Amino acid sequence: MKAGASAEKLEEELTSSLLSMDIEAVKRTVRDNLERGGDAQQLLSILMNGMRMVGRKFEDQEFFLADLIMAGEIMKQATAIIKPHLSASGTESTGTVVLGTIMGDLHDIGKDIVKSMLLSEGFEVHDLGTDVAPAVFVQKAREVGAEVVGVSALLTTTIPRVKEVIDELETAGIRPEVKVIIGGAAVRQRDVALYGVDAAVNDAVGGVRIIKSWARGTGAKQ
Amino acid sequence: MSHRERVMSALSHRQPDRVPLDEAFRPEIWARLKQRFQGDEELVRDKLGIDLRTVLIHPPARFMKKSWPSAPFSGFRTVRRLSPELYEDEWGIRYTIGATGRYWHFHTHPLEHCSLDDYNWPDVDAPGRFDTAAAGVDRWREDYAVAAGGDIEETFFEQAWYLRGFRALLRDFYTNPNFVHELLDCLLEYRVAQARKLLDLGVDIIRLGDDLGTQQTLILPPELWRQFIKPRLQALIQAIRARGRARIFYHSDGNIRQLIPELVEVGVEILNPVQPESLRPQEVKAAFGDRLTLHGTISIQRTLPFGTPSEVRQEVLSRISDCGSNGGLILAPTHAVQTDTSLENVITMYQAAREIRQERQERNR
Repeated sequence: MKAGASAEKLEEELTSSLLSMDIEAVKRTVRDNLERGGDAQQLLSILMNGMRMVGRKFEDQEFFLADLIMAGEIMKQATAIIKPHLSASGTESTGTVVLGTIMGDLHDIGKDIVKSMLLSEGFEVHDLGTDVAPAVFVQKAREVGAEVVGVSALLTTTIPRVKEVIDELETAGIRPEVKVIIGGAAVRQRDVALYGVDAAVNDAVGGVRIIKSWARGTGAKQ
Repeated sequence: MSHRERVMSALSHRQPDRVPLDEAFRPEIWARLKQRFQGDEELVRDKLGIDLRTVLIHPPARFMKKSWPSAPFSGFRTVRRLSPELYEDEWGIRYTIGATGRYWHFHTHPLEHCSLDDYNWPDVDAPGRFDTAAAGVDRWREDYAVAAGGDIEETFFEQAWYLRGFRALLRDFYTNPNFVHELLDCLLEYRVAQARKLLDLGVDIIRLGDDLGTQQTLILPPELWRQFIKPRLQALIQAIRARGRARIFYHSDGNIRQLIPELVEVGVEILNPVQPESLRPQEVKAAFGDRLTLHGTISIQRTLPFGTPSEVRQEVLSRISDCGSNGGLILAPTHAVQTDTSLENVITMYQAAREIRQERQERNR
């Protein structure tokens, strides 16, 4: 009963500090708990749940990009403290995603939102940055065994380049194993057929929803 | 009506003879337009019926002498070339060029590693900084409304993150708020000095701005904007009002609907670009049309690149009919028209807007 109450208190304290973006409080609580012999896996689960709440609040427009980035930073620093205390088996990811903004395009806000939200859902995310050549997406996907490649493109002039990613995946012989999603404000549904991608979305939240559905095995390619 | 009268009439919320027009094109589109009309930029503006002229604040003469004039740097970004791969502007912000050569990347931000106390601010009084702007005002002010821009259009938030780095500044809002306040105060002082110089030149419009929106929502939580940015924007506008009379233009991409009432409250008079994918221009007009002029509104994410000429024409006509009553509308592309847009669509946009006047005049005959 006492242990349950204290677990509840820990969850409440950590979640509240995370949601109010208090990085020092989160780190302090994590350190104190680990010093007292606390369970690293439990701390990570609480923070992951908190990050999911952050993601939902972003979806509901109660939180904003700055909150998402700050929460990501808190998570990163807290995980660095927790990680040495985790057993190897305790860190299984939901899925592996390679993300990047396509060559010729330097906009990364949408990509960064997707990245933060996927991390909060327990995905392993490999962010290639901006202005990424099509071949680099494929090299990385092969190297890390990614199930999903996410291509971001804001400029209307760079959207067609996603076709080169598809071609490179086919040449590498891994197209059947990898789903490709393109995201960007000017992306249209017809781009799915036009460029042979598996999904095309206008908004980051919608993109994350699709990637999650693929990870759960309910995607269009099943 | 002269070009100038047309713009001034629209800004005063009186019906002009036709909707005033402004421009925003990528250099490649400029080159194609110059080729099509067989002339220079001024001839292109004349052929399209552009009613405004925009002058820019540049770095001082000693920096300009050593500047690197080639693409993708132009307009707001004047740089020196440090090495074949690395470029630096007057603020000490460093850039590399993207894979296609059309855009640049941020490479380093001076306040990543340098404290605010050690940072050397550009000298607003350095010789030559306002020379091209002054020449532009002299050349155009009689016939056109003259707007002034340059880095002042990246007024607070944007310039702050260019100096500090985007993610670092966002984190600072939560973990180091005193630093952000101090940085923004330095920027306020600099912007006030710039604006005073522009007022002394006699510009009609001062272009301020900060990209505060993503396509769907805001970058900063509104309470952070209220705490950090809004008071400085208000102070800047008050300083402008105390010195002279220029209309306050404000640029922000994306969905900033939540902030519009407060932008109007602090004195913004012209809102750009009112991206139709993020804001509904007719709703903005209905709610704020008596105080705010909409500038932009013609989509560069949908209609101009992907629409047919007839769809472009339709967007122009519906925008004028929904948002053009009693002035308060200046049509322009919502950002620089990109290279995938046909010249036919660009020309149709301007032609359609000018035809409305002819139709109106014919009806009145």
